[in-house]
Amino acid sequence: MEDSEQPRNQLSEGDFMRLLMKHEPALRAFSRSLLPDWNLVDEVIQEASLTLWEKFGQLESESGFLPWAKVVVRFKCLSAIRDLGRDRHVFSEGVLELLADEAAEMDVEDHAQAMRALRVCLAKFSNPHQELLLAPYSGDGRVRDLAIKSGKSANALYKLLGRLREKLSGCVHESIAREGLANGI
Amino acid sequence: MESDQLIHRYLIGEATAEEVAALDGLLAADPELRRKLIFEAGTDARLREIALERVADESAEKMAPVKVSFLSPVSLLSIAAGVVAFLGAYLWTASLKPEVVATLVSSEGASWESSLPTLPGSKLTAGSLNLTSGMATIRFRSGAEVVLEAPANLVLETPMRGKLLAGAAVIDVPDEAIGFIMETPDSYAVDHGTRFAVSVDEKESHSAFEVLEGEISVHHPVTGEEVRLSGRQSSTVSGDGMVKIDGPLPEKTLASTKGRVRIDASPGAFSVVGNNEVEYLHSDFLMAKKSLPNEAFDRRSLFTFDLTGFDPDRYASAGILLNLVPTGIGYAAHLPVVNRFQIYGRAGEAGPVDGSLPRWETVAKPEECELLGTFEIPRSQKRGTFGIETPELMAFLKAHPTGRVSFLLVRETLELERGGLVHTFASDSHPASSGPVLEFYQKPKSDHDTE
Repeated sequence: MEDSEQPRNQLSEGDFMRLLMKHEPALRAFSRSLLPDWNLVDEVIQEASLTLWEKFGQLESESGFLPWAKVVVRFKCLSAIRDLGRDRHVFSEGVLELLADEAAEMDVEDHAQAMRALRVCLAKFSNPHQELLLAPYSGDGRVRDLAIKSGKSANALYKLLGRLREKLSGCVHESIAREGLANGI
Repeated sequence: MESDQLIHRYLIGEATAEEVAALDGLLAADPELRRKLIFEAGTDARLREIALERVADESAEKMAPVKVSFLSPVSLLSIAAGVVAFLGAYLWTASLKPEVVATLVSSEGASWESSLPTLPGSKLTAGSLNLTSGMATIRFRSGAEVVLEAPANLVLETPMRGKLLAGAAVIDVPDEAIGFIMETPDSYAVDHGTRFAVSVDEKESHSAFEVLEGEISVHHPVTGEEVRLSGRQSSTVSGDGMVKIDGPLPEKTLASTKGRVRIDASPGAFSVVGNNEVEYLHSDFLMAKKSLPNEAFDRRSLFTFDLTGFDPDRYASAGILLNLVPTGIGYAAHLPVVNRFQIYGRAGEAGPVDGSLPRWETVAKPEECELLGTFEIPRSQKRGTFGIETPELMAFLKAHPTGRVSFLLVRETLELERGGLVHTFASDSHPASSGPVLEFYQKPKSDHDTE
């Protein structure tokens, strides 16, 4: 590290990688609530991880990593949106600030719990529906490919995808609520 | 358009400028909708993670390297060499997974029939494992661990999916493998982070699930039923539906002998050989063989039951049971994969009544008897209980209600080469196994066994 200040913690490079790997999914979910697409999320996360590394010495303890990282990621997100200018479909600054404040509350446990619920819920869908639900992340034009393959219009398939996502979301919500009850929360 | 659908359109990148502006207005005014957007953005991130895992799995099968983290090693070069090495190794090992679904962790006294490797430590690709004896522990690549108890047949499908076709297994699913699916012929269980037991009774087309710890959901695709099981709850599944049990499965009971009468063969069951040379026979065994090129080494067996004073009319069905015991005479490899046996019946004695030695040409021949049923034995099988339970047998017994009835056992399938295995069943004088048995049932035997 080139930082002339003495680090405030005894954490090693290995600790940094471990913390970054551990919290990367939650940081990614946080950025996604602010940014309009995944390419931008990936860029911001790359940039933010460099900044986090450079300033790692300032972190006082492991437990402070996620809130600290969210501050850095939030700054990077808002700055990336400003760079986009007005030609992209993005939310207004006021809404972004509100979303950033509210999204910052989600922690790593929430993410892990939601991931468990999502895996269970996704498994309940038929294979073609699972394929459609995952298509938006499997490369550009994947949903359109599926439309051609199934002989449906892309529009119809996007509508179906919207309904499936809503159903999936309902299942995840319900499952988390039930798990919360089971844990006495 | 509903605000929920607007959120989904926004997240999948399909929303128009007007729709984004409309959503922005709604979000500004509605904290509940903002929470919804944050939640859906999280789901979007997690769905992407799952999509990426699947791409990585598919690519691993093709041995193509795939980036599984979004942190590119290039930008991390500027962090520190040591960290990059760590991350590089992480990416490399995560992306270059071989085409492996599971690992065989250990086995205890296991014997297998499988095209997959069966040495402990072996990496297993998708395929079927048939555990014929002993126990084995298989760890799916997702982390789900299956302890299999013989006799069992497990199909490895993907790191997150297996299918138990027969037998019993205890499955331990760590957090990272939540969503692991264990199918059975009629149903499937989705794991919610837990330890559970599953058993499949192939003959009865029946499966049972029991949660030992945590929670699972069991689904019946035909009826659409779904039950969630937690704590020590359990459920049984058959072709027509599921039953949820608020507690562990009842302790299994052995088939009741109520309503069943067993008659042992009369002393003196015997075999004959085509060349009538007694050294090819043994009083402990009832032999069956059909050989090439002539009948010289053929064996047939005969046994008699005494039904004096017995009334078959009081019973609904009857069966003949024979215990196959190995002797090692001949090569199983010289037989067809599956061998068929016939049981014939006739009234009266099986052999000579004057005390002389039975001879091939003088004892009952198939053409002089009534065919009552057939059964099959795979050539690989050297032990087990086999027999028939047919309407023909019951009709035969009812037609000869008193006195003695005899049965002739013949192997119908020919050996493929000379020196084939001689099938040997315990005779009434066998020191360890029971000789032929005739059983009468008040209900058909299949109903008895489910009691």
